[in-house]
Amino acid sequence: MQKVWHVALNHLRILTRDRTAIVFYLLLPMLFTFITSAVFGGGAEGDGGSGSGGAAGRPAGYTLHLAVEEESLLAERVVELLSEESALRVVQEPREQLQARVEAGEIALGVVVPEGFGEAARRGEGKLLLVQRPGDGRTDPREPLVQSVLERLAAQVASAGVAVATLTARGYVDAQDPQAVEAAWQQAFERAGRRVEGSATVSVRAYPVEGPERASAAAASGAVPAAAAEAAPASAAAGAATGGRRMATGAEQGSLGFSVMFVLMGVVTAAGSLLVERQERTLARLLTCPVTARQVLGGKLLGMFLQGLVQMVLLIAAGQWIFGVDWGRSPAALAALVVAYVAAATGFGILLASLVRTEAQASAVGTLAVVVLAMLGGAWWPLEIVSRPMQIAAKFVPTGWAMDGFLDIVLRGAGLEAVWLNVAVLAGFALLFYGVGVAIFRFE
Amino acid sequence: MSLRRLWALVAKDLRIRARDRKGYLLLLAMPLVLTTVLGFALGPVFRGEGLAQIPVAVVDLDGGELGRTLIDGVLRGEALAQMLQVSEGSGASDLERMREAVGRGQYAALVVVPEGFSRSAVAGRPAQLKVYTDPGQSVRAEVVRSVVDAFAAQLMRRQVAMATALEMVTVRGGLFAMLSPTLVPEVLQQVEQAAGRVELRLEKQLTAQRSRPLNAMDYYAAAMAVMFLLFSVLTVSKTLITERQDGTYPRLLMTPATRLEVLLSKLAGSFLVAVVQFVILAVTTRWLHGVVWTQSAMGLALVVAAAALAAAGWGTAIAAISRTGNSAENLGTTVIMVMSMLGGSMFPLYGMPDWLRAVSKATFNGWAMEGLLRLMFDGAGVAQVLLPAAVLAGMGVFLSGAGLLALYRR
Repeated sequence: MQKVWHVALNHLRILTRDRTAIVFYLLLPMLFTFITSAVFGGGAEGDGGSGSGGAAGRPAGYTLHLAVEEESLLAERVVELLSEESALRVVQEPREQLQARVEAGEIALGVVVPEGFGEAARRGEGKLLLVQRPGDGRTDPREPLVQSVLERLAAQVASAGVAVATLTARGYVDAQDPQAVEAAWQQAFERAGRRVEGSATVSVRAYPVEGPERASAAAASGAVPAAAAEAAPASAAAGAATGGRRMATGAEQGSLGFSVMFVLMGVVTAAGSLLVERQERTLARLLTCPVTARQVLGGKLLGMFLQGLVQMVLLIAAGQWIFGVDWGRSPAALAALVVAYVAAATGFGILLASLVRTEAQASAVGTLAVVVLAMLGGAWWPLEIVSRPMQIAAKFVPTGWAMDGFLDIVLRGAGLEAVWLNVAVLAGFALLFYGVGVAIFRFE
Repeated sequence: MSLRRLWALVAKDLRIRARDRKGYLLLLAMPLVLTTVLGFALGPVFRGEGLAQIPVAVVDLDGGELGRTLIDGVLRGEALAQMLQVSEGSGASDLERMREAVGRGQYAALVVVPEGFSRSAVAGRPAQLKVYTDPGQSVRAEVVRSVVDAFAAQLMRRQVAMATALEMVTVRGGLFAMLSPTLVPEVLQQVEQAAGRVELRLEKQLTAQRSRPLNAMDYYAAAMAVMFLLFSVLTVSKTLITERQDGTYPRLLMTPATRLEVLLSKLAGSFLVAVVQFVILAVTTRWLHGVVWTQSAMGLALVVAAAALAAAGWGTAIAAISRTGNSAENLGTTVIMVMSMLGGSMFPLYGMPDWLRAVSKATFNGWAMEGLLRLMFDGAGVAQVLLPAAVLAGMGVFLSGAGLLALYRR
């Protein structure tokens, strides 16, 4: 066993002297995470914000192209309400450009606030334009979001109208004085807006179902349905103070995804280096020492495993402290999953190394395999947006099970009870890969 | 300088490339596989149907009229039939079970109509619909929430109108005004008359169809071809350094070949490898996935030639600032990955923040994609791709000039 340790530690020692390895295994995934979080919104600022906080932690949602053709209170309000929708990222541009781009197929749809919208809306009949190409008949997920904003705006406009009518009828505002009427309307509009946003009489509250608290809250509430429903807000608030909304951010997707991908990349590359040693006959010479082939291979595997573990821990730490991703919600579950995933990854590395002949082949096949596995497993994008066959494909790759488990821990705040299956499946992958890989690996 | 010698040098490098089996895998199989995976995986997203069939659970503890309207009229309504897949449970036990299932990601969201909801809403008392969401599918969950929101907003309208009117009366007339016995009936009447009259609509406005809609397969065929152009030139320009290390370079100089000829041969070799690779990828993706590259062969030739030149420039420049073949490969890979991410080879830049689109204009990928996408989707001809082609050519001339100069002086 001691000999195995020596071989393993030797592997790590060689690695720490390799500066390019540090760049590739640590800095590159961090750079990628940085870019994704810059582009799709970071996690650090977003976590404390309330649902109406808006811009701070913008999620990896949908872009809405918006052209505003008039300057009015209502047009401003449309922009404001749309920007507050956390699933939308609003990009403003001129109407001609927007239409040209929709027409050219660059963007799927755009929304126009046309000239005269404010006036028309106050008469009760305003309309926004949804610019689409013919043939794109399917309902786009952005459409109901815009509809919902319009509903709230309509409630606000209608309320302002009712208020002004009441005020003039009762003589608080002189109906003959347009300026006074306008001032009253604006004041009422603003106040109605606060009611529409605030805890209005008929409201919707979203509770992210997360945290182990979920289980205990459910248990505590027992058979009384009303109590069950009421018990949840507390747990949701404890889970994440997000005012009932919880959107995955670019930083979260990036930190999880690139950690999973680059750890696999790291061990697969390390497995390739086994083949260099075979080509250079280092392995054969090692066997002249008082160690068995089994011990050497065991040591190499242990070294690769430890390497993956260290890399994963460092990337998780970077995610936690640099990118503000909440990795530490269930340390036990996280540890189990990390160990299982790194074991499966190491197994994949040795399997690959045993299937090819030269290091050159290993690096070419390895890179391809790693990138494809990462894509299939949802390391590059959330699987909720891909087609059904692709979601099913994720169930057949270790990266898919790892991502699913990490999402459970980081986003859903789940504990061991939720990820044990992921851990078991990854352990299964690891055993399968090791078994086949070690059996067919050749030293000469 | 002799063209014949130059060609002999280029031919030598091309022969070496052609024998490199790892090269085929990396430079041809990899972009093809990636194009296929990306094209299939992101196809629905590009078509705007990414969120079809969102699994939603509902539990109606109310049984009143409003709850049924929400479930049968809205969630199961015709407008959302393609988007939502509704499963309804009943009672507290289903509520618990379904909420657990949301936590496991089985449903994107669970909509709960609490007991007494209809009664409270009709009477103007606070009434709250609950949406339990899965943070692991937040985009889908948010869509469900917005649907329920819109429904609530309709119900809410009368109540907000009433409250706002009363509030405004106190603001303008003081608390005393509230004592008027006719106030509430009058406001109620106003609400009945006016509140329902405001209707804001989202009207569809269809554009004329000028060119093809974007699709993921074509997009990523271009994106990967662009990215792997860089990888392929790197394999050639790397030899600028490795041939020094292994002594091939000094031996080449003992032949009649001059230093300039050797350097230029690498540039020409990179260019040719890039062009050949692009042609193979273009033909294969066309045949395999029916990718439509262009309607203007001249335009495509122009963009590809300019892109190959620019790629050769990047390769030369990277070789010029690296000391060993390994460091050239590592630096090159890093530069390529970062440029690809920022330049649209990994995800489309449409609708991305302006700073990103500005940054993309400093990358090889940004301009090459610009040219190719115009050809693919805008039906562009030579005139419309002159700008990207010119920028790429300029990039190529500048980088290869600077790179060759630095290498020549070594």
